[in-house]
Amino acid sequence: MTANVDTERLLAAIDGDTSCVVVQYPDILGRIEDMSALAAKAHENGALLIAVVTEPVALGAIKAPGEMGADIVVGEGQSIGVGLQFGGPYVGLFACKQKFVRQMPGRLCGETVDAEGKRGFVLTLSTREQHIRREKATSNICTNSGLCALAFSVHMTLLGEKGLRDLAMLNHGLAVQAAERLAQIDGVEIINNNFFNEFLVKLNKSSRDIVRELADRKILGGVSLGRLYPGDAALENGLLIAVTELATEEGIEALAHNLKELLA
Amino acid sequence: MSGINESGWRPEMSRVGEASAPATFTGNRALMLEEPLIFEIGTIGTTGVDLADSPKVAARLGGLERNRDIGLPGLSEGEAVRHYTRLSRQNYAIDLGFFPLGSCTMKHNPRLNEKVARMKGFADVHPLAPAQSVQGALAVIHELAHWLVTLTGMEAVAMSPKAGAHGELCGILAIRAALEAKGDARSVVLCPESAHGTNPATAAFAGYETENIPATPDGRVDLEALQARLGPDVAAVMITNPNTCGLFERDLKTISDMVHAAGGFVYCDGANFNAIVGRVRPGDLGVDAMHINLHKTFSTPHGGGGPGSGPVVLSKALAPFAPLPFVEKRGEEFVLIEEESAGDHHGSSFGRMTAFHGQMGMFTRALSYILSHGADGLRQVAEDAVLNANYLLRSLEDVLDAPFAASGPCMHEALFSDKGLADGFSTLDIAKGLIDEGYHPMTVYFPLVVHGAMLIEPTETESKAVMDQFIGAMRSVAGRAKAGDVLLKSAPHFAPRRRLDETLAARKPVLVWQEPEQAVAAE
Repeated sequence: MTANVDTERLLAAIDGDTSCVVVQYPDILGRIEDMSALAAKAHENGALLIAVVTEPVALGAIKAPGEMGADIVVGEGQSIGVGLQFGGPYVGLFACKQKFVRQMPGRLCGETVDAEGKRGFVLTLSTREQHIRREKATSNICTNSGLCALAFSVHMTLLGEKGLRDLAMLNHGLAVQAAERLAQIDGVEIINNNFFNEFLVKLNKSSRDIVRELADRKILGGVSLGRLYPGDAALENGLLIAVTELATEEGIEALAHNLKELLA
Repeated sequence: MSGINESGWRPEMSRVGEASAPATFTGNRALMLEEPLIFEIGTIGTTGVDLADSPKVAARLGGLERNRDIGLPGLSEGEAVRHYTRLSRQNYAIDLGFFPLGSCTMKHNPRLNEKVARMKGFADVHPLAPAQSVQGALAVIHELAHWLVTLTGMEAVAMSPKAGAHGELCGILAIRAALEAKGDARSVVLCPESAHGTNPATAAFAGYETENIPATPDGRVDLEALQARLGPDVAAVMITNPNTCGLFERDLKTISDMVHAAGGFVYCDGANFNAIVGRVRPGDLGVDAMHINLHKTFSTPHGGGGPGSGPVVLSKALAPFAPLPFVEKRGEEFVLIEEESAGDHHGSSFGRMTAFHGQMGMFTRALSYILSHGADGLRQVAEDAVLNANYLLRSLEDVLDAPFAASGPCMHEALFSDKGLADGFSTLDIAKGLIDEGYHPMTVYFPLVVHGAMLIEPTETESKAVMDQFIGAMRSVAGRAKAGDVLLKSAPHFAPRRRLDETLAARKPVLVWQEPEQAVAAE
């Protein structure tokens, strides 16, 4: 549990055998790191940089991975228009530089014209796909997440640039507020220097137990690192806390109050 | 002249077809509305949401604040509602009419399922919420798993795969794990020529070489050819049953015995399970792994191609290798097994397919479908789906070539070829003609074993009246294709767009919004 990613170690590991470097942004502990150096080193060695964005709302507040040299960006679209639904269905996002388009998996929609010259759209570049290329296809993907992708698009349209930026800053503002409040509690240490809407705290007790005890008090207090990394004693006191636009001051206060009692 | 209109002439009859209709100022045609893209009507300053102000705090973004415009257009709520409603009216949908897309099982999506899936305790639950707070959700997964295992006569089910092809991958990875556990690495997966493209693509993705198994002239797996090819290098045979020619592989038990005797496993592509649900248990036929497309057989909506859900049922031999997680019932409590060490039976699990527990939103709908139909209702689903397909096959075989009509009754799909169409006319022309008749076309050019294939799947949803009208339309369009009606070559005439230039789309791909060239030039 450290405030920063050990980028130096990752940089040192990139060599001529490296095909790609995969980095989460923000990462699983909520940390935000500049990927430019990784992109440069990867490219020097003929490798690609793949950025993974599990919280697309963050991109309303922080630099786009493409600006930092990412070749491929994949994301989880759930937080924009798709319900939590206990894990699915969600919508995966996949973007890449133009030059990799013909290696992409799955369905692609392209613009064209009809017999009267009117603009229209078709599924295209399908010679990449399993129903045509079979074992030589770029993937075995057949089904897409059309309905979830539609919900994502509608939600993005309702937000627009202004809405997405405001939403991102609201998430961040509430998260900073929550982190500052929780930092006042004995037995809580905020690990992150920087974060978007999710940050790591270190408790003075096993976070798995604390999460269960909070749930008994009708508070869903975060995800324990003990659950995400079972058996790793160094992480068992880590607790990941996400704060979105749905959080209220009362909610943050209730979490702080109960955490204080349980950690005392 | 008397004033009586004996001919039945009406004013609009003099203006049939759009060629003779006048152009409109807007480009709209009454209720058929043209709609620009959001990039052309939205602005970056417009939003449809009204958010609270952000608290005044010092940002902790590590100096990575975004300072460039994104270029994302927004609309007000009213504008957004109109934009997407207008676009939706340019689409065909199962709620508009008959949707005979073979292999896709476009059946009615019962509204009860939608109500259940939207219950807050299912729809708004975090996948990593503590188990004590999600007992109901875990109970749904456990109960659906029970019914999937029961309906298929299998040992276990992996619930997490996200769709059919993902389920195939899960099954093949379980087969690979089982073989590796025996120290028996094998390199080849066999697929029939008529297989869905996902089968060989999956096997290749899992690191296997693939080889074709030929079909007999009656459209089924050639047993002799299969026997000749089986050997110590064959890891698995992937069979679709009913197969994509719309026929039941009646020798599947024999095939399974042959494959098992040669030390391999049988993967069954369950895409066509709708034809046999409640009637045949794949476990009784020796199948080792089969995915179930919940979005097909169990009616979860998959408009535009998804979302899917592809749980995989597994035989006793493969069950120990199934991916995590699992839901187990211990006493009165439902427990989510997320670690190999946590359960009694999962020490050999090959890993995970997904971060979470599967397509819960599909699980609730599928369980609702299963429980509301009951055993008798599910059996009737299969029976009616097969009956409908046979009705179509026998009603069209005199106007369209049905290559396997002599092989006996079909299952839930009727398959035709382009044999006998006039010179220069193709399956594509029939598909485009059907659009003008108000139907979504059938699946075309699949399976590959039939020239100019047309694969029609009516499902149990459709009534005889609906099918009779479709049969009339098909007979008319097929008749025009056989007679060489040139107007069919330029169909559709009445759709929101005429034939689209697919070659242009592929040659000069425009895959994301691009500013019009003149705007770029002006900068």
